[in-house]
Amino acid sequence: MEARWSRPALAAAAVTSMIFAALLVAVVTDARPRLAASNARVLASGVALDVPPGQERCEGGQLVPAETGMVRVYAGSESGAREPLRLSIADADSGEVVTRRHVDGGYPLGALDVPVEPPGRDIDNGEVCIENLGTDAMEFAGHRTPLGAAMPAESDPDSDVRVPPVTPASEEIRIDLFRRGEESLWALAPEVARRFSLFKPAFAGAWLMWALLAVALVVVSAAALVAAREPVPTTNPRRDEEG
Amino acid sequence: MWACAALAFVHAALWAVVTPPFQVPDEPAHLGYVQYLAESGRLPRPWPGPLPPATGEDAVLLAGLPFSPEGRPTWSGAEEQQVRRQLDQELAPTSRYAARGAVTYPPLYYAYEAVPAWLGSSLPALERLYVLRLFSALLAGVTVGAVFLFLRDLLPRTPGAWTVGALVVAFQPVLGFISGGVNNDGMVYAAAAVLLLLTARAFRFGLTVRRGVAIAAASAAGVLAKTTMVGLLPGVGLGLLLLWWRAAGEERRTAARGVLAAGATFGMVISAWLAVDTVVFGRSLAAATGGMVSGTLDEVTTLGGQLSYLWQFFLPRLPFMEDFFPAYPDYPVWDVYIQGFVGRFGWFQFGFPLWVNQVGLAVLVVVAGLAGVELVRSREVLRRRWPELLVYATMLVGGILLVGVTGYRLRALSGVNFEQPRYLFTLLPLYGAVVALAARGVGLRWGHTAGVVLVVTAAWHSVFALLLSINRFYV
Repeated sequence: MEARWSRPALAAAAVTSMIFAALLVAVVTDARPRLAASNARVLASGVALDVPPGQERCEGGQLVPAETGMVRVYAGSESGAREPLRLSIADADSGEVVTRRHVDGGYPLGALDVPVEPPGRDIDNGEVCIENLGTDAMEFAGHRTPLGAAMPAESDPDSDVRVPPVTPASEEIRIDLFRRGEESLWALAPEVARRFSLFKPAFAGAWLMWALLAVALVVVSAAALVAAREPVPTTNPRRDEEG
Repeated sequence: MWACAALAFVHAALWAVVTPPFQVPDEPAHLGYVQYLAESGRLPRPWPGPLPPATGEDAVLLAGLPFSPEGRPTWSGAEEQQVRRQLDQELAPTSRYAARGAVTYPPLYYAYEAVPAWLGSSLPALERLYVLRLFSALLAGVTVGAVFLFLRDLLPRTPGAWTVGALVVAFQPVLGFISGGVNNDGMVYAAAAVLLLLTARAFRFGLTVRRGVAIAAASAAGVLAKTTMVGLLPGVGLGLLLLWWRAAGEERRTAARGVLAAGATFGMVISAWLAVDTVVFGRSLAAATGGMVSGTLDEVTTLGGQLSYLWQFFLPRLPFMEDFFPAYPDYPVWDVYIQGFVGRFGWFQFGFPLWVNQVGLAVLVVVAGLAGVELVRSREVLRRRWPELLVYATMLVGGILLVGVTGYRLRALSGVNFEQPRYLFTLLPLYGAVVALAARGVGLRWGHTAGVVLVVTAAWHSVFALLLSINRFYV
């Protein structure tokens, strides 16, 4: 079928794209704390893990990236106590304690942010420990069992996602490790590209994410160009059926 | 048409690469079914009792992939290398249990995917998964190509609207997301789109034996891909009868032969499948029908409960009704269908912020309003084409009702939420038609420009949805 470019349509496509591109710039330049790593497998934990007074609980096998600048745990207690704590990060392979921070009591319950010195190197087998220095028991949100674990999973009938049974032995304290300061997505992009390449085909590198984003933009442009081709009406008796 | 289909494929392929392994709904089960079929040449049979532990590649991937429906992964290169080392070892073949809940599904999609799985058996498991995803993405191209041709037969005098409707469907982000994963939904969408195309063609040019057989083949292919296709079958039956009824003279005899050919073809294919499934593969009728036939369900469901469930899903609950949706934050249609259509990804776990969903709803309302204006404007044509319109309406109601009936039965049986917009995507051609009508509804002067704006908006919508997924899994 004969077709021609429609100038008003091309102009409208360009204006629409510019609006969305501006929104995109706003999104990627928005600075906020960014995760470096986390052991969380849930949005909100359904299990609280005890750390009795005077005792320490450690979670091993943690990836602690070089740029980690803050540790977030989720604190609570039945009595409302907010006991002083000591948080430390060690390299379990070498035994070296890379950072240790004292947290005064009286902090608000819930998300508890503890700034730490960046270890300066990735620690693949890190051990994060919390020692309760107070006189009351403290509790920390777990990492695996969702809130409402007693409820059935929300899924379709063929789903194999089933809420795992609550097995405290396999539950760890949820540990979110944040990068230092606040960063925009743009500033974080090289690290995101590295993460993106993991568990992808073996040939993939950090370039893959950039390549895909480029393809996505090409696809948007191609769609605009294809749609902006305005077919020239022709007379075809078979088409008269529509009326 | 080819450009629209190609763009739909590339779009789904982007989703295939962006979404981490096993973060498409039920992908482990679908992959398990494909692998078992490719390795053994047999269909998995359901088993009584709890699921045995996973074995082979299935076990390594389930235990080793750091992604989860809710949590953040560890982004550790060392962890990836460890998983790859485990996958490189001599592993047990995939067991039939790997099909998990997908075991009751019919085999067409899995047979399609078993071909690349078998050809790529020497590839590492992760690489093979991406190859399978790309094969699924091809089905998005088929779907959108068929939507284009459907619109061509539906609105033959508005060529610009064919491209607009097809491309807006092509960039529906949930279509790209699902088609970019190992999931049998992609094939049922394609079969449904072809079915609607053939239906529109039969209404335009008349029902012949060849068209009747093609309609039956598309219907059967859809049913053999996933039983959500069943929702369209009442519309198909009605369509065939109306095509015969409205034909005159010699055409009526041809149409009658077309109806008989369609019935015979569909009956033969489905009967053959049921026979092969039960006799050759030793699976039960419940397995052969995707769980649609089950004595247990009849014991826990009532007609009153079903009607109450359907009412509450779409309308405010009346005081005497049992509350079926206490866990829904707002309103089932809004929570599930509207927000889910704007975009909810992963295991139906994450989506856009609320304000984006509200804007999305506003856009959908405007599009539906413009389509309504165009329908009113075309009322003379509608009067002539009412049988065709009735068929599409029957398919629409049938598709929605099937999901509602399944949702009620599942809730009665196990208390879980079922509905997701992807189950309605057999109706995507009708969505494309609404968009095309909306573009026409703007008027002759600006209709094409408005359509292009809709296409560009849809494309950017999906770009942001891709970024949303990147943000969810990699930031």
